Amino acid sequence: MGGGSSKLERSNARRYLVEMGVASVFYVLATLGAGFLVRQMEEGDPWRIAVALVPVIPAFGMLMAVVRHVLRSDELEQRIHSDGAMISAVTMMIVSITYGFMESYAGFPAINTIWLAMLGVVSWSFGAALTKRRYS
Amino acid sequence: MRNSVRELRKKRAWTQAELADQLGVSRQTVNAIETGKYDPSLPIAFRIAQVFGRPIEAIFDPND
Repeated sequence: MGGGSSKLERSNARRYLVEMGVASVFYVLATLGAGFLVRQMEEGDPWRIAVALVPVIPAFGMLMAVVRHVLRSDELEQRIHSDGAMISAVTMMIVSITYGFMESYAGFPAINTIWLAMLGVVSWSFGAALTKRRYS
Repeated sequence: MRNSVRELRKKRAWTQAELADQLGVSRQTVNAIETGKYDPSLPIAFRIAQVFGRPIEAIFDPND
């Protein structure tokens, strides 16, 4: 009796795909370009930091695509997203504190903080899926 | 909160997606309202009442 998705869902999904797709393409290009340029530069060159930070601009575009997607959603979807974000924030805090202790006191190796972003994406998706089940 | 959204929708032979289009929400939201798993905000409750041409209290029963 469902009858597929509503117009709001379809238009929101389409716009999100376009906005996230464009920002992602720019992010990949910026990351590859900055990586290439940084390797060509001298070790002490102060411009290395500026060039290494260039991918932050399209990454901000990706963030805005997510924010705009959430803001275009209806009230229940926004609630699902915010509950997912809350679960994600708590997960990231617990994992980072726990791993920090293990690094300091148990000799665990230091890991790249980029993994925190990955953890954020995975735990947000997991949290949203968990919340969604409550309303299905 | 109990409500008669599903009954009213079925009387009009609308799908959940068709009602969702009229309310400007997702199909998932209509389903969650119909099954009583989600209580809508006042603006959506008013829109539901408007779509079905009935007062809110005739659709939503707070005593459940």
